[in-house]
Amino acid sequence: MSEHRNVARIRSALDVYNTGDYDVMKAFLADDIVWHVGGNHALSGDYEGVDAVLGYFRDVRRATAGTLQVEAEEILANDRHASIFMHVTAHRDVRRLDVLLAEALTLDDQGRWSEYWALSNDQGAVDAFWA
Amino acid sequence: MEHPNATRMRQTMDAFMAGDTPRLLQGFADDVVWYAPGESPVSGTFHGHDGLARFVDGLNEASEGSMSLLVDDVLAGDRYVTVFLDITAERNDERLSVVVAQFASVDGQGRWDRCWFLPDKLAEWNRFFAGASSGQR
Repeated sequence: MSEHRNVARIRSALDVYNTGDYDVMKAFLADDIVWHVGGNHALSGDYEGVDAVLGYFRDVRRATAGTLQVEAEEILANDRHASIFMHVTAHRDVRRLDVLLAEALTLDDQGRWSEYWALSNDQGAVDAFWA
Repeated sequence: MEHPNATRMRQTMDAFMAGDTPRLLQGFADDVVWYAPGESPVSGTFHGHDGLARFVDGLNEASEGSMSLLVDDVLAGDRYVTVFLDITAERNDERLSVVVAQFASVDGQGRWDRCWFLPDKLAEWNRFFAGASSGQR
């Protein structure tokens, strides 16, 4: 079975995310995107609009001194939805993060991300990292 | 043709909606780990079939059996499945209406061994289930 075009598109977006070039990343996001970050830590909550989401990206990058990297283990997608299971690693002072993150996305008719949910299978580790 | 894990996930959701807990549990590994987000009595990490059954009982009790779950879409691969759910429930004057992204990983026997989910409106979810009395680990 051939790969859905939105899988390839997401793979490209993740490559861009790892470079920290959020001006390019912006092209993958809908203007009115809603971004839900699970857990109980300082960055948990809802981010509404592309500028708020890019601000969140920059906060994450700043807090981790650019060490946060994502590596997709599996990407699932169709025309309306996508899901990414990814390993996330980062350093923050002496703290180290190495978790599996599940992400769910709704996509607009241009394949841009319009709503996003993210939660780790070890949310306690994520909460401790950002505490 | 739908991926077999997508079909299995739909069967799991059907069992939940039917209130058939034994059939529901058949879809899960014996040592399943179920992570429920938020801050309510039905939040936390639930282990094994007993833990999952307690979580389900907690949902049913808090919603007074009114919870309705509609599968909007299922994305499935060999190792992972994500299902998008429209969930509603009512209790007295309170109403819950959320979209939930539910994630699951699949063991070697096609059973769900790790599951976690996130509603789009977690605060609404927390408020609604604040009165649940279940949630033992």
